[in-house]
Amino acid sequence: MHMSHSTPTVRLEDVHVSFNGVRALESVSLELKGPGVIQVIGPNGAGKSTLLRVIAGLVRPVRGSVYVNGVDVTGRSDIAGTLVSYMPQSNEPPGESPLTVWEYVETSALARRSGWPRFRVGSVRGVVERCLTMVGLPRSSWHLRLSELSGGMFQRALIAGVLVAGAPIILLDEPLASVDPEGRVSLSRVLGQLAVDKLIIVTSHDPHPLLEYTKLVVALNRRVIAVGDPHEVLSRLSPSVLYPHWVSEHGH
Amino acid sequence: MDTRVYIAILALTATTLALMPKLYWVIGYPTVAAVAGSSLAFGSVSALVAARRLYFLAHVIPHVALLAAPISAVILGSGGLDWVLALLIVTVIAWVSGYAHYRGVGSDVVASIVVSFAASATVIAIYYAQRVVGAGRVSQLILGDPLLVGVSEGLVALLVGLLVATLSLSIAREIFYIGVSRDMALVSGLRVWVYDFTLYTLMALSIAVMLRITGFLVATVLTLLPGALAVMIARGSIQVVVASVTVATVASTIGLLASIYLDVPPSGVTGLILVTLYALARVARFV
Repeated sequence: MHMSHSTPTVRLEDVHVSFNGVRALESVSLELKGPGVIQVIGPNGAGKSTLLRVIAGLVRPVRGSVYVNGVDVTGRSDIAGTLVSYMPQSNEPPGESPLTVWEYVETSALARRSGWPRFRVGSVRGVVERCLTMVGLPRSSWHLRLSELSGGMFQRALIAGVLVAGAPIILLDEPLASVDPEGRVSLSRVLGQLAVDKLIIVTSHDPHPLLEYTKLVVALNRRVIAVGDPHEVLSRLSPSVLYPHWVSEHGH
Repeated sequence: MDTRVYIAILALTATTLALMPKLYWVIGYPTVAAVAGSSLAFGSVSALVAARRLYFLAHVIPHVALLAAPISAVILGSGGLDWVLALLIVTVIAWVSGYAHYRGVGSDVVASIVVSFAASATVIAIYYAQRVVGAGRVSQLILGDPLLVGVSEGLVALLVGLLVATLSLSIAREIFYIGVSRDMALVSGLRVWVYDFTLYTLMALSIAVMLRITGFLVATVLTLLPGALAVMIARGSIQVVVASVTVATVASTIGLLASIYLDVPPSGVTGLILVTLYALARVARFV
């Protein structure tokens, strides 16, 4: 069951994360309040994915704490999971996965319910149908194996698996990365609609498809570089600060 | 080729083989029970191994089982409850190996350490076991022979096969879900460690109990290939488990028949049939 909380909120206090002695996040303190879309932008290796994994309780910081809706979820995915849904960065389906799209989304819905998931299959049929339709997966694809999907369709199936949980806070790591331009527009619209009453935190290399729905941008490069109104942050930061590799390859 | 065509071919073959009761009377029902039990156990566990891509454990656990069997025989003698002690040893080492992997130790590292230890210690264990139970019994652990199985061994194999298949079907959907993304499964509220440790236990149970039937060498093949083949041809978690069990049953039965008519070791034929089926399924994907 989700804890009732009028304003979905994520708070990070002085969070430091290291992997094998390499710092991934340094002294990150943030308060992210919903509802709305918040985009986390930054270059490769900036710690965007790590930030989401910390919020989801999958990575325990070496220092600092993480609170979701006032609950301490530091390093506790079991507690964080009652409040957030999380989609990792994934550009293509796992090889040979025979799980069907329907079975995958249905299991995502059932996993959060108490008791053994398989005894409650019928109870989530409606919500599974709604989520699959919402992300624009055609009915003909619902009983395909995940490994038969294109990168973009697989991404949509993963997003449906996140939406079906109905959590007040949604964490999406590069959700539009493998989606075609037309799909980016439609998926951005879906996320914009959901953000009416949810806090959606999205990492992105390209903030523009979601920009009209975004209320806050966090620019990250292991530390927080800037937080604020999307247009203000994007105009204030030069591309060479955010995307040094891209600028060096392609010029300004 | 459509999934249903594969399943229909497998089901037809399995039915044909099942409709030979006169032959089974000649073979002996303990052997039939043993082959049915090992096919059920290996077929269902193999599907879950493929789903979680725990192929390294399919190499590790048979090595550990080959170490545990002679140790148990030296301590308790052969033909009694020595298989229970062997099962305990295999389960504990399977848990330790699985836990190390669960905590982030690479599968190659786990496999290198455990297999090296088990292989070396097995040579010493077999040296002493041969004095206690004889060379023939030790050879059975390595090569396997369902035709030498006694009534109680056949019954135990069948019961273990039914238990492993039932449990595998019960957790298949969740195991396949975890296989897509472990991180998403963790945040979704699934107790991933419970499912993983159940799978380690089912692998240990299948391999430790069936070692004398299939032999150490083919236990690895039976843990790897039926599931690897089934995930290519079936759709949905339950269908994969059923297809994997059917593949294991067909290969094991043909192996048994070949041993009678052609006088060749049944486990070897079973392994070769599995490799052939797997290769054919791979080729068919490109046709």
